[in-house]
Amino acid sequence: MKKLFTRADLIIAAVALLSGLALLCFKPSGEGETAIIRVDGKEYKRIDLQSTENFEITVNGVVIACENKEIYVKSSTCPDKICVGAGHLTKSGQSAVCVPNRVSVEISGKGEGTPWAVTG
Amino acid sequence: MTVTALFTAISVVLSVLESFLPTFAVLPPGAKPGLSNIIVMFSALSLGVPQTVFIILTKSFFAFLMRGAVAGLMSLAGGILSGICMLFVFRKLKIIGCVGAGVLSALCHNTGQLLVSFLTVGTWAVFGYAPVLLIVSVVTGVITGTLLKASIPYFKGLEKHFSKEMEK
Amino acid sequence: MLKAAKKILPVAALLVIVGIFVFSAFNEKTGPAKKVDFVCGSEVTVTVFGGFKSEEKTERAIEEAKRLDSFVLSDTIPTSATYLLNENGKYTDKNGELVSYIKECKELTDKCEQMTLLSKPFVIAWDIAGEGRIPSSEEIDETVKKADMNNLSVVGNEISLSNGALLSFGAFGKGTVCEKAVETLKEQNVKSAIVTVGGTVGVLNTAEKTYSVGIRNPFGGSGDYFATVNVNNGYLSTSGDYEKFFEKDGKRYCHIFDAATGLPVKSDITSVTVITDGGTKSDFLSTAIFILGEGGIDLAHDMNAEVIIVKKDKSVIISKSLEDKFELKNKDFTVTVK
Repeated sequence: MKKLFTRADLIIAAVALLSGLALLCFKPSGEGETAIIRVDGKEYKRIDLQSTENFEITVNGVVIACENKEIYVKSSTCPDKICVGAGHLTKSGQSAVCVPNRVSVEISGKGEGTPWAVTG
Repeated sequence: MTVTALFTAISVVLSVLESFLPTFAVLPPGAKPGLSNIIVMFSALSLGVPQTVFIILTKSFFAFLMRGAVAGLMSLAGGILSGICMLFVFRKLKIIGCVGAGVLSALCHNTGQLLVSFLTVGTWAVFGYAPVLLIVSVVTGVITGTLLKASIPYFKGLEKHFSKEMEK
Repeated sequence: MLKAAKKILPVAALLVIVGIFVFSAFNEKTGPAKKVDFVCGSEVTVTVFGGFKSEEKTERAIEEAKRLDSFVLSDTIPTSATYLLNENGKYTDKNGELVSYIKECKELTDKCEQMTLLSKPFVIAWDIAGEGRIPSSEEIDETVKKADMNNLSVVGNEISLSNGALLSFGAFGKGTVCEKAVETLKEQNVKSAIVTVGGTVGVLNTAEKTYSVGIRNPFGGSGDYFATVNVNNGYLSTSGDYEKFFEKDGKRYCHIFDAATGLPVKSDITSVTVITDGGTKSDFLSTAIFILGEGGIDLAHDMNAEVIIVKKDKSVIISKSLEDKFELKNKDFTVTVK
């Protein structure tokens, strides 16, 4: 008969827990500059968060809204609403994914090759 | 046969019940306690390989019927991975207890789901959920593992009872 | 069961403690922390790369920039020492911050007699902040007299102005604020950061790494750059006639004045960018070279600074030492090295 709890269990749980926490903390947290909306893995729209107006668009039943430079999934036709639960996205690396509707919104930092600052 | 059918029914009922409780206040969005996993674990522990495979397939078929193709696929991938893991744990790795088995099962289940998500959505962004899922797996794994340990005697009883019924 | 618990407990306790340490160590923001605010009437951006508590550090740098502007340098905020000096004609500088700053600037303006710290009379006479107007030649003569650096005297902690002179740090202030913000970050052990105050960019770096900084396209909108420079450490300032100007009868009058003539600078140059080791210095030099013209390059090289001059015909002159760091992004411009 199986034991309830062994030392091996403790190690498994600790390793999973610690690596989860470490990954959570290592997530990039810089200011998000651009939001990328993908449908079926293909880029659908790229939004510059610094300069965008407030808007609302619907893709595959997923309503994506942008207010005050923050983008979020307002509502979705999927059963779990994980994408809505992801909340407002502001930092680079954050994302909201709707697997059933195959839509994702992710925030990335500044684009490759663009300078960090402009003088003048 | 009856025994397998009975446990399959229990696991389906558990997963259906779970989907009726979509907002588990303490858990982040998308995370479920995975109560039906208890049955898969018990099956791997006590019933046998074909029975376990049958339960997993039926469970994902019901997920497909109730929540759509993608959910069914995710359930299938998660179920197969965690099923293989459970069979291995309960038959070969004796040093792992019920809690460890619960955690491993949850981890495998989530890995399978993430892989399917990645293939359907096609963006690395899905792995952004990985850290949260790792932590949630530990929590839900401990719960299901403890529940499994507590319910083994009852499940055994059920198993014996129905096997005898069959012999009569 | 009890025995097993006794064995597991210490291990569990140890793991929890280690876990808490690991968690708190990594719970800091590791990505760049960026904060945008307004100081000196222009946008200030502080970006800190890596390190712990970087968000707090950016805030402290912005606080320091605001303090410096609103209590010392600004000529429009009533709490600042400069404003009080202009109001009363004299000011007792108790902590000596303004006195030492005036001395630092005077050393710079001594190198270029067409620059003055008393440029405010020009700004008022030509109404640069408003609609813009062309003063009479008598009026211009008067502003030139007011802008004479001899009207500013510093004795001990006493600063005084005479003959209607008015102090203004228009040509240096943003560079100084930028430098101060970078210094604040350095004091907090920040290893790499970028600070932008108006036209001045400060790059702080302790590693070999370089950051690319764009040079504004004078013929494009804000944020449009025609080239980039890779900077490891230092300050970049740009002065151009496209920033503030007014037009009358088809002629353009810019906001940069020649202190010797009292007239807005008219030249074939449209912008000057200077790269050097100090913010006050880079801001001063970019203005000075704009006034002096191409010949000012020698002054910059003497002061250990690098220069990028953009002319109205889209030809660009860069210092020889910039050759490897300069990258042209817009093919409309032609580059020569000097």
